[in-house]
Amino acid sequence: MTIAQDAWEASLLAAMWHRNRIVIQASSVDSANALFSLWKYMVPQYRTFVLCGDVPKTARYIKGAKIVEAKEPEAQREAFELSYAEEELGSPPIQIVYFGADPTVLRDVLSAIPQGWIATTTHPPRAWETEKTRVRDALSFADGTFSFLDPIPKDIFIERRLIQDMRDNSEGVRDFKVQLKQSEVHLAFQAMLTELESTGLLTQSYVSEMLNVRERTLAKIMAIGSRERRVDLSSFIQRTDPTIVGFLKEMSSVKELYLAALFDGENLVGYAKYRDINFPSQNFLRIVGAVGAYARCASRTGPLKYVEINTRHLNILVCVHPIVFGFVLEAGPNPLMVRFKVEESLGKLVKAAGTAPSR
Amino acid sequence: MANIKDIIDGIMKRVPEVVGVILIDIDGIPIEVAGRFDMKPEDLGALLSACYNSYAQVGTELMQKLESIIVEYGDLKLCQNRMPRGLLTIIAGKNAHIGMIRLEAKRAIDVLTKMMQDTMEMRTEMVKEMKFRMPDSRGIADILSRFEKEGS
Repeated sequence: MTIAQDAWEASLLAAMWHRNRIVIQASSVDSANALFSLWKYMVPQYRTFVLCGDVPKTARYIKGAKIVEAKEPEAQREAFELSYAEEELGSPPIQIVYFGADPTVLRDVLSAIPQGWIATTTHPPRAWETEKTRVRDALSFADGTFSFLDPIPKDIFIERRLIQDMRDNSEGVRDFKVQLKQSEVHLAFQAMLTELESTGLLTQSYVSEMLNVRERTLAKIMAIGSRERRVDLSSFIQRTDPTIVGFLKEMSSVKELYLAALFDGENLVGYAKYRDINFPSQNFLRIVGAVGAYARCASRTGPLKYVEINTRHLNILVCVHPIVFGFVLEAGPNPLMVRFKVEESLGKLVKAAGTAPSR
Repeated sequence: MANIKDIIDGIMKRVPEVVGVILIDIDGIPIEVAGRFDMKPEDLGALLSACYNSYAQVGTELMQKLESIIVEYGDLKLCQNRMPRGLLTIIAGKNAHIGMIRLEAKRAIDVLTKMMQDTMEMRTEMVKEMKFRMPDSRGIADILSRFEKEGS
């Protein structure tokens, strides 16, 4: 497999995942249908398949698939519109697949559905292209052509990684890996929705920690969610301040660092996991609470500034500035040196952000 | 041969910024105290022990045994160190060099650990003799709320 092949496979995966409208054209309907069968593992299985046209036997057995038996274009169109509208009521997102579509179907039936359909055909684009069904991108190879009626998503980092990761895998393993990632993204969006119903606003760092996902995956969750559930959560997720992002990136140079978390009051406003560790960031606030309790009992301590907890293999540093900065580090021969590096970066951050990044 | 009091006093003499040293037993009972504190030694011992245990839980989440804790407030620094049979706490002024305190703590712990292994019976007697009351089994929240009420 070549890099070029990886790239177009990643584009195809992105298009299918993002519910782009796709027309698969080949010299015969059977060939076009075979192409769909070959790449159908890229369509998320949690979607409800709505099948129409000359549905081949192999597709009839897709779990939970609905088959539109109507032959009249008007009835087909109504059926698709109804299924698509049901998404608004909370039903799973649909994936329409029309087998052996003629130009009339493409122009008059499928064009009414703004996303989430794939058609197989023998007709070239010039036979069915209209203002509503304009080809934006195309991937051609010996057996046929994939015409994309929506632009291929720009950020396909995750798709590229997936394709590269399963380069030498069998069909079953590829199916497993793609579906696993797609389900993770789908369920993560559901979790965010549920969480937002109770809180109203979330920070990007909180979501990142709660779902154990990195920034790119979070962006993918939002993008896919907005395509499938037609809900844009971007205004409900408070983005991490660029100054804090810069700080967290700079901290990656401290090789002993496992995790860094920043709190503004009780809100997690910055979070980065540099190495694998299981340590809920709320523990930093617990530490501050326990140390503060001592200060409340003993007089003349002054305000809390710094806590260092040393274990045999790990150190926990908490700096109170008054934003709480928490770090988990590998225990090294010289914890003071690490602390110095951390404080140097902290100094730059506080200077860049005034007194508090989010205030 | 130096006794526990000599070792504790020695820390205060060598590091002028140190304002207090307290050695508590594994149960939170004060074994030796040097310096002046606002609280009764047994209350201070219970508080330090309770605080230490609450940090230890954080260590447990990381599946790590706690070795030491350093806390810096605006006006003082606190260094708590675990020992096999107790907890050594050094309290110093804000200008104290934390590296120096670490070093003193490490040296003292090496000697104290050996001594405390040999003094189990002696400590039990001392608790009776000095009429220290045993810390009760209530949780940290109860202990802290009692101190707060007394302080207010």
